[in-house]
Amino acid sequence: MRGLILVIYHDVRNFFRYRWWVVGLLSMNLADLFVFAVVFTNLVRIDYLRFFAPGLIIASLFASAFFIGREVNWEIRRGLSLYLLSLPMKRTELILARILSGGVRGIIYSTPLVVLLFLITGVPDLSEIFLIYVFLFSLAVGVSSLSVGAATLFKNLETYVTFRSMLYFALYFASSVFYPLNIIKEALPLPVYVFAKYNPLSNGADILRLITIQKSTFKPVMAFNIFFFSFIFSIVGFILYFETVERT
Amino acid sequence: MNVKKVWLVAERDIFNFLEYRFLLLIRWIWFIFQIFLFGLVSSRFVVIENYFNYYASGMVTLMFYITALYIGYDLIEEAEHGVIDYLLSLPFSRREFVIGRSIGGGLRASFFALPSVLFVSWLIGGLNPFYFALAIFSLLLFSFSLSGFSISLAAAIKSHDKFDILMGVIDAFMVRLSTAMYPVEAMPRFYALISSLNPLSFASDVLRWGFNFKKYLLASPATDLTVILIFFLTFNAFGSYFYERRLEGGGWT
Repeated sequence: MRGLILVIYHDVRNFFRYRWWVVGLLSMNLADLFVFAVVFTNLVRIDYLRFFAPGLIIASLFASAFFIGREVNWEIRRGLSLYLLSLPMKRTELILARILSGGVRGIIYSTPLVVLLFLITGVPDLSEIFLIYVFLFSLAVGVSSLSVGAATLFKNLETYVTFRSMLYFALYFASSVFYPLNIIKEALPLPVYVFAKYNPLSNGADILRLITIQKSTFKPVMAFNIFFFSFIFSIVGFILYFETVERT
Repeated sequence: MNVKKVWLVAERDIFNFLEYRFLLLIRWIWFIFQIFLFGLVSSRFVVIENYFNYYASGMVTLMFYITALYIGYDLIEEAEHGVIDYLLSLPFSRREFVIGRSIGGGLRASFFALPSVLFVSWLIGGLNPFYFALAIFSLLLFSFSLSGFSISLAAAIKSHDKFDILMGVIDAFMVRLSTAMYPVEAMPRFYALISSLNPLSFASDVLRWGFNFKKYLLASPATDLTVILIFFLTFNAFGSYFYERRLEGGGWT
């Protein structure tokens, strides 16, 4: 357990070494909220700032949790995983720690933006905040596992980077982060709509909207989709990473 | 100034760009997702008529914008790997070297982004060849200006980390505070003011004019071209000056 905590601590500290990346992402998130969303409010028939703010939390959580995959891929390519295997801890513990640390990074990075969301929509009660964090953490762990799993599939950097970008853009744009699902249904072919509907990013954004804006209870199927996604991808990510370190 | 030597420098930058092939491929994937997901969906969502055409032409301008800025990263990489010292030992003047880099940076961005112009022009249709040619010329000038801007910034900062951070911040706000994604009419007054001074707005504007999409234009094509020309002259002069001054003496971190 101590090893697990140490690896998570190491990974979280490492995240802030990429300060150029963090500052770039933060600037983009803030510009999206205070410029893009403000302007879009004048272009659409809804209060877009309030609609988009929960989506932005999910987008930022997604980007920061997804980042761990880059490091895992780099370690595999450079043989650093051999060093990690020599650490006095079980392999299962190491892999679990890497997956969880992606989730923890996502939570740490998105928390200031969650505070901003509360300033925009009003502060929910403690039980709702707890619920929000349960969903956010579950989603972040799912994204982190997906990213780690994808990182183990390719040893060639360029193929990995291309695959990662396609996966990232597909999940990001075919979701309800930017627009409501019914508009996606009207505008795009049915398979894209179905993908968007079950996309965990859509479910995450919509649950946050329900809790913070509409102040209503969310549909259990949305929560199920998030937990199911996280569970499946955690298992797949875990197995793929385990197989890769075993082979090295 | 020897034109052949300037071209040699520019040619090297153009060929070096092919090393970014996967980054460029990602940029294209981004472009396709932007047009066919974000563009199509938001055109149903937004009250502006023909928003898809508006957005698609803005994305083309962003393709020029993003790729023209890469040259600054090249400079920093070269400094980090000590290649600059080698380049300085080659038989051409500092000025030829600096101008060649600006031209190379602008040309390679234009080569890369040109297919996106043709693709969107095919999607939109109904072009006026003369306007279109003038718009492409303006975007070429715009690419040279951005290369000069990127070179100035890289040479002034001389640090990989700081350059990355600054480019991230500039990129985030410059794109969103421009008319690349939405017209100035939709912006609050303060944003509209910044956007009306942003060269990216004028470049987006002139391309829309070239695409014969004349709604929500910021200024007349003559004004667009003049602003781009001023931007071009300013940043190429600045870029050359800074780069020439700061090229030697180390200090790159």
